[in-house]
Amino acid sequence: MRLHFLFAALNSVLILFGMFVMCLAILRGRRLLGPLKRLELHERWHLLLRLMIFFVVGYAAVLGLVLAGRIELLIGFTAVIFAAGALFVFVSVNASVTVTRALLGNEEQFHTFFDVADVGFCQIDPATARFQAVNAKMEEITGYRLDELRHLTFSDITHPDDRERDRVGYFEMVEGKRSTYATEKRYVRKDGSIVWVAVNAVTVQDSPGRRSRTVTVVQDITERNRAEAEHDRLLRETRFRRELLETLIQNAPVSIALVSLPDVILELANPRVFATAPFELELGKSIFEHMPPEMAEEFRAKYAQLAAGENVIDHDRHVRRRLPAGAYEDRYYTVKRIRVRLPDGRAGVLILAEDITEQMSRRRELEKRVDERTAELRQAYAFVNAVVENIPDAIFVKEATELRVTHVNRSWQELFGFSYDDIVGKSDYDLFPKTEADSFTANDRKVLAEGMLLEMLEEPAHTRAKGERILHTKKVPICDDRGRPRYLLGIAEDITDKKQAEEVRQKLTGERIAHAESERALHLRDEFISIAAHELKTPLTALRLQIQLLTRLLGDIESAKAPRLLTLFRSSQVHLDRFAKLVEDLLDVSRFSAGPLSIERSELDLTGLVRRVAQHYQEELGRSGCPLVVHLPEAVVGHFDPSRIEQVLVNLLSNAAKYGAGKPIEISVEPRGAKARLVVRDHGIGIAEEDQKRIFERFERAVSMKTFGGFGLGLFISNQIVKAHGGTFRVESEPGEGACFIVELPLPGG
Amino acid sequence: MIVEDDEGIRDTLQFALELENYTVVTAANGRLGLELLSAIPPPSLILLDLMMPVMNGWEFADALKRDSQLTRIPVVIVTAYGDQAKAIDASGVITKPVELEALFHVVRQCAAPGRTAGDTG
Repeated sequence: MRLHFLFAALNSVLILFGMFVMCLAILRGRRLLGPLKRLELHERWHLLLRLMIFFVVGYAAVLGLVLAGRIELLIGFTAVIFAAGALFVFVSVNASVTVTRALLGNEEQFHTFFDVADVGFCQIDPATARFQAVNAKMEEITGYRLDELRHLTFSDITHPDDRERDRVGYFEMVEGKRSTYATEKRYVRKDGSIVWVAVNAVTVQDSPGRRSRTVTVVQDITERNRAEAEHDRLLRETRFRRELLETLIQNAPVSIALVSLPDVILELANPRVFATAPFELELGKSIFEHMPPEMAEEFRAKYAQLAAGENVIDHDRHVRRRLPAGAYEDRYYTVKRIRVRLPDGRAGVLILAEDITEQMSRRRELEKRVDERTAELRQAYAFVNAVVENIPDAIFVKEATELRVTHVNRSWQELFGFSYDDIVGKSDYDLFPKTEADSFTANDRKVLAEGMLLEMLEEPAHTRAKGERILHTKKVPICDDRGRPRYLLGIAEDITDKKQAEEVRQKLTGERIAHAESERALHLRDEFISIAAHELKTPLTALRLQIQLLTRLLGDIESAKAPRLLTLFRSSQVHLDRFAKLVEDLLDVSRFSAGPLSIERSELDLTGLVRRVAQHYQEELGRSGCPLVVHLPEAVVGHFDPSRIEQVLVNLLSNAAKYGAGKPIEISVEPRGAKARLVVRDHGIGIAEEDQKRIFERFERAVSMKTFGGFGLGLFISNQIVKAHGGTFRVESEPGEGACFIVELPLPGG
Repeated sequence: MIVEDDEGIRDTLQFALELENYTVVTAANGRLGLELLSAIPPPSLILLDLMMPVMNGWEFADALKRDSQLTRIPVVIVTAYGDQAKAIDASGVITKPVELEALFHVVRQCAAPGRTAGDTG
């Protein structure tokens, strides 16, 4: 019995081991059973379950045999069970494999296609939405390997924005709502980049009863999209450029037209062409259709030239357009005709015409202004040149490098005795002695180096025309825009004459001072005379009063000596009168020095005055032995200062008596037109011609002081009085023939 | 009344006028003249020199003009400076050296002999 159980136990172990081996073979045994490898996992589990049920039944039978004590049957039975099990497995597997072989045969071809296709293929489990299989292209598209994709659903690698839409579409297909699912969406690749794909999915039912799977064809359309985008962009750009070109042509401020040759058909023209053309134009028609015949000839020639091969013709054009109001408008165009090839291969001409009327107008305005400015500049230059040429100073200009003369003015040429042509281009060494040239050049260099004015107050220079001269020279640099000295300007004044004149002036000044001093001395003299005369008057007054008084009192004295005393007193009085007159004359001289004589006019009959004075001086004239002959009209009345005119008359009579040599004296008064003429004539010693002017000056006399006394003031004073009355005083005389003094005084109404 | 600084002229004039029966008073300058005038009845005529010490003729004439009584007295200027006498509003001017007859003529026009003081007419 014990052996039975031992055997049964051994048998059980054997069965269990066999089951284990078979399970292992089914689940993992790819290499053991070739066909098995074609089975899906769930099919394998299915097979294993059925096998285990078989073995459980077999094992129960074994246990039954053991319990029934039929050990001898046990070995055989076990063998049967194993055989049956093996047969079952073989049949099951083969059955399964046979069913799918046809499919799998196609599938192998499919797999080959699957692997080499240039589109991505993937198989997705509809239950889990996970990738089951992918081809190499799919790995390339997504960037994931198959073993990585097996753990991912298609939604995991779909772009979040496309995910929901994609998921819904896919499952509608899976659920049979649609047969296929196609979309374009984005994958997010493993490296994070985005790839556009076109997805076409279809549900595949391998065999009845088997679970369906989906096969998806994935096409990378990133490039296509890019190409499409590029195409769109190019299209847009082309359109934009065309519009730009259109805008440019339509709005260009120039007339643009395109004509085809040889018939010169207007193919294209912007509005400006139509607006500015002086005749009508139509697109698609020859430009000569409406062109005035006088223009056509010229235009035909131009287009013939272009048709003959000329590439460009430029010309300016003047167009006179009629305005609505009947007026004309002149416009100016610059026209360029360029031979071109039209898109259809024909020859054409591009015409560009620009309205340059405003430019012309501006240019004319500018030219006018330039002309005006030029005229102004010319004028200014002429002015400056005139100044420079006519200035009395010698002006020279030298260039700054070699100090050669570039310009000299006329004064310079006159001073130095060189002509303009002689001097220009020469240096100082060509013109002056070396020592002078050295000095000039040193100064020139100094001015140019320091950039400052240099002034030589007195610079000796040898001149060809005038010998040695003294110059007052100023030298100044003339700089360019950058401040570099370009020229040296020199201005030299010949001060030789001035210096000499200065010396003369100084001498004259000395003389003037001496003259002023002598004037002052004269003034002091006049002042002294005035004071002296006044001072003399006081004792003279007392003396005169006293003599007069004594003369009066003498009449009361009865004495034999009284008549002699009376004569004496009268003589004293005459001397005192003479003394008084001398003092009065001196006083008058000082008055004339002080200023013009003031006269007090009143009505005066000159004849009456002459009579009175003649009578008064009868005695004195009698003493001189000169008889007085008076010629008087009835009356000559004027406005005069009586005392002053009397003074003149007394002076004349006194002189006549003095120089009359005892011969008759004639006195006459007569009206002469608007003047009263008073003439006193003597027949005495006369006055030499050279003395005649002199005698009217103060202290002058025509005769020797040793022979004739007196201050020599009478004629001077008389002349002053006559002048103060606005009259004239002159003398006519010959030596030895006497003298005739003529006074003419203006009368009222004259 | 004679106002004159030179004693010789003053005395001679006084003597000459007294011989003509005028009553004459004298003063050696303007100041003394004014003092005298304040002490005596107004004279019929004043013969006035211009150039005088202490108070000159012009100042004396101004002083007379300021006095309502004295301004009525006729004044005859007796001067060597005939030109300058014009500044004074005088009844007459006699220039030195004086002609006695001319003096009497002027004096007679202003005052009757024997009347020195009192009304001047």
